[in-house]
Amino acid sequence: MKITILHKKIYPADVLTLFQAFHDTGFFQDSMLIGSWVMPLYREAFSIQYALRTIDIDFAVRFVTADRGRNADLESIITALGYLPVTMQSGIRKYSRENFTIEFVVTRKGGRDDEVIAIKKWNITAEPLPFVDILLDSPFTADFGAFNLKAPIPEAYFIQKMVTAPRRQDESKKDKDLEQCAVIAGHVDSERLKTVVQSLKLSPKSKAALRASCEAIDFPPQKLGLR
Amino acid sequence: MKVVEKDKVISGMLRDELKRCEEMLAGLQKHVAVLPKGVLSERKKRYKKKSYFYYTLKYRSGLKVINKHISNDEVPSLIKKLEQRRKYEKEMLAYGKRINYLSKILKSGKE
Repeated sequence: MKITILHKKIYPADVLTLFQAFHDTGFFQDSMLIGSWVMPLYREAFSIQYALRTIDIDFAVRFVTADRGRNADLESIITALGYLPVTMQSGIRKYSRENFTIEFVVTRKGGRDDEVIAIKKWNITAEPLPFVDILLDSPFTADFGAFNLKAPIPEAYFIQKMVTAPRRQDESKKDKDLEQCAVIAGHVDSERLKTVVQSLKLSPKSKAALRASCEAIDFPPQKLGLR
Repeated sequence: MKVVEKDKVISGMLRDELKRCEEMLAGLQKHVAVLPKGVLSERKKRYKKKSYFYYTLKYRSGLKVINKHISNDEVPSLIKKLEQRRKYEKEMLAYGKRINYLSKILKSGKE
């Protein structure tokens, strides 16, 4: 799915420059923008209104062990744009500029508890988190004219938040996830939602999490194929 | 700050933001700790009708002001590191301001 973005100013100029630089490396071929920074895209492309946005710009990266495709030094590109690399206590490297931070996440493989995953293809490190593949498997392309940006379709974002919210230990983050879900719920496309749900292999624990979120935001679980 | 007080999502986001800023500040401080500090200056010395130039790094160590001689070979990399330190310190200052601002908002929300 490709959607033309008419109002380019939904993002600050500096952030558009960053997206353009990532696009030029081919980063968005298998990776995408995630987190609250997709909300301006959703407003523009799907009329989903959600104003709150954190100042960390998150990207989901598809992890590949061996890649014969082209490699790019994303760290050099980011630092050339004036961002400073900062190594956190966990060993993960983030990039900061005037309070904006860039972070990368990758799907956490079951049974592993690594704090950092090195993505050699892009010369970056990423934080492994569960259920990131739900987002990566259902992308849409936002066409900005000069470049394309990939982000998850709202239905995938919705499901990922619904599964992760009840697992959150931090109540405020859980509330934020559910609030976003409640806003998106009114705009989900049932066919796309069905496709996302059917593509998932959910464990009983994940199904229970989905049911709990459905109850919390008053969303019919039947729409997710749950009884 | 009634909004902060009333809205759990907003106050939660502000708390997360404060925590994130504190973690970033700690990370930035670690980077700064390994970078040289001070000001690089060029000095001129006359000896037997000839002029010689050399570089010194002037920095404070406790109560003392140190003038450390820097060889010409070391100068380019030192300039780079000092510039890097300046950038990190500028970023730290921005985070410090943001931490104070967020702390104030959250504090007044509790009152």
